[in-house]
Amino acid sequence: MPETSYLDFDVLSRIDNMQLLARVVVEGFLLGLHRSPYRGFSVEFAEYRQYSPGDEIKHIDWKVYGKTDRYYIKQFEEETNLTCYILLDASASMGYRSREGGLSKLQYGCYLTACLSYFMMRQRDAAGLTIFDDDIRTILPPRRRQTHMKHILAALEGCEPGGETNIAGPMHHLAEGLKRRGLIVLISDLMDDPDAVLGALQHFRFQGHDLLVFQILDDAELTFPFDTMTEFTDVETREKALVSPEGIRATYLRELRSFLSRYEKGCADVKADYKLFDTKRPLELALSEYLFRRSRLGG
Amino acid sequence: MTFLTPTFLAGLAGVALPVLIHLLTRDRIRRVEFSTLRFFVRTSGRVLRRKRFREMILLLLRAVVCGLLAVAFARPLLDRPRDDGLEVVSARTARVVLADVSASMARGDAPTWLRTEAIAALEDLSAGTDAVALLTFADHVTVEAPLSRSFRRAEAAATNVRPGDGATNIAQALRWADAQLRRARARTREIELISDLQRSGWRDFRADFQLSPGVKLTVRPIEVGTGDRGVAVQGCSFPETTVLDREPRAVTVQLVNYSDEPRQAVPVRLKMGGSEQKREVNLRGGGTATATFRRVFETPGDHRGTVELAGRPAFYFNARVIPKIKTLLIDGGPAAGGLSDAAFYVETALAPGADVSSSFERFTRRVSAVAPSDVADVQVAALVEVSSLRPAVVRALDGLLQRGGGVLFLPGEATDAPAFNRAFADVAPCKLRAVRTGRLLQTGGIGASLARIDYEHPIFEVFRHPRHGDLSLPKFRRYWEVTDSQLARVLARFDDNRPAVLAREIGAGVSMLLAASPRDAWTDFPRQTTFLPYIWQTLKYLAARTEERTTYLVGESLPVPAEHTLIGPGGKTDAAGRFAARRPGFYTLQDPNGRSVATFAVNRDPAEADPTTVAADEIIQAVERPAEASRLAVADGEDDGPDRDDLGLWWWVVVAVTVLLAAELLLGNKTLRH
Repeated sequence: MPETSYLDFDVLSRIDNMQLLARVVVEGFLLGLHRSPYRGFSVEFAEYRQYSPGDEIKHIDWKVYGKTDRYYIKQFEEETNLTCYILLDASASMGYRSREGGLSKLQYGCYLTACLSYFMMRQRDAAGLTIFDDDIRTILPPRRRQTHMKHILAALEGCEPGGETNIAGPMHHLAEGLKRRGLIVLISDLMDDPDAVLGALQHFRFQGHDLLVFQILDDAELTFPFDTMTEFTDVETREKALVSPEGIRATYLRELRSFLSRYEKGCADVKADYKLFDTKRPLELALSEYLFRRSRLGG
Repeated sequence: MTFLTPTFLAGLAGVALPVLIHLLTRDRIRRVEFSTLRFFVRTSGRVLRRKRFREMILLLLRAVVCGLLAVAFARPLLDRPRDDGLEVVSARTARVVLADVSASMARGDAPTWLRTEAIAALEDLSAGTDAVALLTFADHVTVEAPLSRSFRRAEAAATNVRPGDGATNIAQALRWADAQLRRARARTREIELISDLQRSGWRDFRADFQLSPGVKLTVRPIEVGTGDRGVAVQGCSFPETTVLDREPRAVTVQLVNYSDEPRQAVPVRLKMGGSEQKREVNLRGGGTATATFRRVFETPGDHRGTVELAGRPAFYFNARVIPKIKTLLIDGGPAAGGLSDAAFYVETALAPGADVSSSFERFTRRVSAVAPSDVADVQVAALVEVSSLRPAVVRALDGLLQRGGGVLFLPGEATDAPAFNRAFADVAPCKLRAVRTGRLLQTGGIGASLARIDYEHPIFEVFRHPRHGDLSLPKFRRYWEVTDSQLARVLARFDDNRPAVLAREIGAGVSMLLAASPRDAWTDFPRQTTFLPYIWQTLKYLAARTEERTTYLVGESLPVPAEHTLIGPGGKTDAAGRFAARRPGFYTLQDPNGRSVATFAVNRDPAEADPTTVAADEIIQAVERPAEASRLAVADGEDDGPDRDDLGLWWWVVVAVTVLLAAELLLGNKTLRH
């Protein structure tokens, strides 16, 4: 089933017990797993706790009182439906893979998108997908229907690396078009001007969206393992550079650290969660690690 | 630079090896598509250029190492300056060719043979590998071509070599050649001597000289046929300096027949002042004869004379006629009306008689009558038994010394030592202490003799040779013991080692003292034949009228005062200070105003006509070191042989290779290549 090739059930079984919780409460009416400030509106029972002065008397469970002769407050948690916008970078740089048979960054991003979409569908959250390179190539608006998952998977199947990276432009364009606040998940190698990208994230943040940034890099990009004299060709600009790798490795890694650090700090500044993924790492491990960290923050 | 084993230089081709390896193992460029160049596009060019620069340096280092190894095995010999500033020449064979260009080499076919042998001496050497020097020698040595691996100058000099007028001096030439070879770093060092091997040219050899260890001497003798031998002037006796007295002077020419055949009626002419005198002389084979001419000099000044033999100038001389020396004789001895004994003898010596021309014009004064004005006009003053003089007179004597005159003290019986010491402290060469008595003689009587005489001094020079006066004959029964003579030079001593004749330079003049009065009671010196020449020589010397020589040999230096000009046979010379005469003939000295002030006659050394030769083996055995002695001398470090020097250079090359390899290792680690 090609349309379901991105759904790894082993992966999903590993993350099934995790809580994907938004850090920022999103306005919504549908119940879900996301904690809501609108108590009493939802009917999802959460737990009992002993009454303490000041609690609403109407929340006392009189049946329990009849059985135990003690006052217990019945706790409910309202659930909201989350609107999630997944932004997948399909620029040419995302097509890079260092090993034959390995995953390209775009493939890795597609897997990650599928996992997140499926998981959100199960939570009855609305998931949308936007694929872009230097412009928006595909937009699937957020839907809560299970059949929408097929559209997402179909869009991912047809996704090929395209033109030059221009993250900021499509994001600004998208930010202008989103009427409802939700969770923005950006999946990209972020090979663009950090200031421009962070400016676009700030745009989303300004409009009340919660932000998740998944930066995906190849292992070769992180370690620069080349040794012999190499002529590198930029896959986007086709620019060439003849390089002695051992001579510039230190400089490359220093520049890369500075680049990543710039994003990490910038994301913290706009209150966006930032996670770096290495395509060499198993997808489920990366996703589990993120969800665990997310749940801890949300708890 | 040269090489002992140049075959190894083929190893220089190994320089190509690193280049080849570099080309074969240079980086294969891998082409990779990468997500972005943003992290290295700015530095990649610089890094790549640095890497390529380092690789070029590495390549160069490796090539230099390979080249140096080849050079090291080829045993390089560097030309480097010695401690004395001369450049050291390295070669396989270093040879110094010594060409005899003395006057004797002009006889017969000798000049042709000289050139032939000089050219032949260069033929078995290879320019660039061997080094050669060509020196010509006579009385002096000329480096025609210094030691060099280029033969151009040596070959040109060999082609143009021709005899001159100098005297032969083989020993001096060998010293020069040895000095040239000391500059050489060569496996073989040798001297080739081309000469007629005159015995007279070997007379200056001193047994303490030997060639440097390892230096080999080869002699190429030039044979002069017996037919080229003939009559020559062996010497000439003439009045080099005489006083204007219109007395005839003898000019005696000594002739020698170097051939075995007798020569009859050999014409000898004396040309002087426009006149000519002729004599004919008969000489047996190998015999000698003299020709005597008489000449009266009627005017003061230089008189040039030329002796011609068989129609060709054979000897030049210059007789200098001088006016008389004004001499003041101060008598302080006891006398009854006339002169004391001592003063009488001195005065008589100055004017022996009417038939003897004297060089002196004397003025005699008693000590009580002498005045400063008497001293002003004289050139020399003799104080006989004078104890003291008026201070004004003493000052006048001091003035005489200051202007170059002389004072002779003859202290005697009448001299009072304390008074003498006080009065003449500034003008006498010493002080008087006491009168001494001579030792008892075997022949009876008492007397001291003169001993330890400095015959090099001008006043005793005439007594130097045998039969020229025996100064040990005069006996001194009494004489003065002197003291405080530190400033004086002792020219003669009595046989008890006490000073007898002392001289002290004061100002431009000289003060002299004979420690005994020439009176009968003290000595028989005035009655000896040596008294008169002694007094004459002493007073001439003190009067600063010790005339300079007027006749020299080729090669000797002529005195040329500052700003004076010397006109030689070839015209004006660039003489300054002293000038070594190179050609026979007359040289005229002119003062800055162009006025002739002196004439010098210059002759070839008469010994050059002597065909007697020295054996080549005698020379070789005298100067060459035996092989064992050479080896020991090298071992003792007496001569820094070529091998040790080569080794030093070799080690430097090895050190350079090591350093370069270390640098290559360091740089190679920085420039990783895979």
